[in-house]
Amino acid sequence: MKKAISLYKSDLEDVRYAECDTGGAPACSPIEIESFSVNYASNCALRNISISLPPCQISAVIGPSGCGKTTLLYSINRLIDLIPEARASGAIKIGATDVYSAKCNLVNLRRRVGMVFQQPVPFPFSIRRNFEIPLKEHGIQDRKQIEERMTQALKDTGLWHEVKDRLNSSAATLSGGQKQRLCIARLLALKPKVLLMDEPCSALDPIASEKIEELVLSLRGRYTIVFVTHNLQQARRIADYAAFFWLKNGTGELIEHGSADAIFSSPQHELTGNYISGRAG
Amino acid sequence: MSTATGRYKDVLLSLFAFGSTALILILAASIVARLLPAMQSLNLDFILKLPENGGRGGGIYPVIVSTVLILIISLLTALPFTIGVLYYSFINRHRNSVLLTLINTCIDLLASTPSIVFGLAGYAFFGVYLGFGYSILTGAFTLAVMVLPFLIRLSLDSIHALPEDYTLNSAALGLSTYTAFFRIIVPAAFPALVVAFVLGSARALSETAALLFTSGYSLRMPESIFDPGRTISVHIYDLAMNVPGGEQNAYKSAAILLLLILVIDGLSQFLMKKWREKGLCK
Ligand SMILES: Nc1ncnc2c1ncn2[C@@H]1O[C@H](COP(=O)(O)OP(=O)(O)OP(=O)(O)O)[C@@H](O)[C@H]1O
Ligand SMILES: [Mg+2]
Repeated sequence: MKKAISLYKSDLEDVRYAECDTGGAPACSPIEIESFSVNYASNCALRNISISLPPCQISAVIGPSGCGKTTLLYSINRLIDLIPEARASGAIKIGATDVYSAKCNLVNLRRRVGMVFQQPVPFPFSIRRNFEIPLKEHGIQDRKQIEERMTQALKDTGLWHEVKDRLNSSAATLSGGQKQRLCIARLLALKPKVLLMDEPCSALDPIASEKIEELVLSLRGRYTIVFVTHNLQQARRIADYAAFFWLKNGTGELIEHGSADAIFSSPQHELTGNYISGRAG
Repeated sequence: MSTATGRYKDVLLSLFAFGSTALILILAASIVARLLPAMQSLNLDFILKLPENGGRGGGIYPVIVSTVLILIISLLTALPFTIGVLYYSFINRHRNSVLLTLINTCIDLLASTPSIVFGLAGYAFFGVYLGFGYSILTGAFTLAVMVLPFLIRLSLDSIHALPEDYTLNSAALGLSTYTAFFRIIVPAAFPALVVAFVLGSARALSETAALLFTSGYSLRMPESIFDPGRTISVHIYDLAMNVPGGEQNAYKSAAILLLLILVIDGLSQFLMKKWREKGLCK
């Protein structure tokens, strides 16, 4: 398991893999990361990370720019497979699912592990079409069901009242904050179990960013959420659990992790203390 | 660089820009001036009547039929190949694929091959080897091979112009490569793809050399796609070069050719508008 796995395979091969069985797992699953490393060509971005993120909670991932936070999220849903020069080794388990097993069906994995990017990218079609395409892909063909899931997801993200009269107009006409909530809604419609959020507020103004924050808090308990942020106040406000990464000689390493209270009020490691008090990073 | 020489260069470059614009306008004006009388004498009869006296009189009905047939068949033939190459290059975009390198080399070679060579090779292969003889089919297939590099290059560029984010977001939503390509990438690039096909059509419509040897220059009405047929461009060439007294109808045919290109352009605009209304593209 620890030997380097060459991740780069034809996307077409994915279809052959048997289903990853997250099916029988409880509503949300813990994410267990074991001796996990990622190299980009010869540059090591993450070294030997082992951490277990608790189920149904919000885990904040903090650390300076370039310490591998995005890389970590990409590793959890294997988006890293799409980066040709990336090589990952180690193991990640989500509930009973072994993410890096050869049998893991990426389509199912990524439906259950949703990702929110720093820059929201709605597809350049109508708002409705943004839901239709992924839902149909995951076997929901019935118009009524698609409509229901879309409506529910838009309500969950507080976007419903803003867009209910323009579902057929282009998603490109939405504001930045609305786009981000649309992207989150598009995920929620697929009923994922894990949400990976990569600085979802960094491109937004304080009001839009507060809305996202409220949204994330309202999702607590229903999903295992991994939330990357540079905003320590925000991390303090929303996180149940926290992990602090640091760059050592150009390599991302996990310095400390634990309950958010512990990390923010009594960090064990000097680096952590300096970082959260603003003296470093 | 001092500001003075900078300004000097600005002026020089602007002169070139104005110059080329003026050149294009003058050319366009002279074309319109020449075609205007022909356009005024155009009527439905010219489109719907059979030619008389070697094309000097009557209409160009069979020519139009042959042109449209050849155009449609060649585009329909080129379409699956274009999509195939696009899809293949999409799934292999991060890899050094030998096949892709080969395809790219072929595209460059084909794009720089003189069309008369296409005519000879097309006749040898489709006409003689596959036995289609001088026919609409031979002409259409030859034309398909000719516009293919053009279509592939243009549509590849339009797909490469899309942000990588679409692919990442598709993957993150668990879309298969197939869905990502056909439901996201192609529709997102749709306007540019349509432009590629419009330009491809215009190129195909203006081709003469390759068609002289493949679809022939029979002025008769083709009864099937296995019959020879003459396209408008070939007709213009023939009237202008080989038929004394054919100039009048040559100009009229040229006007029809331009109108045909305008119609194709209009159709594509209409198509894009419809797609946009359905929320299927930008
Ligand atoms: N596609 C790539 N190819 C090569 N190196 C990469 C690639 N993506 C990231 N890296 C490198 O990996 C390291 C970690 O990058 P990553 O994006 O994970 O950092 P991050 O913690 O998310 O930073 P930020 O807070 O700025 O988003 C960086 O040194 C970066 O240069
Ligand atoms: Mg990042």
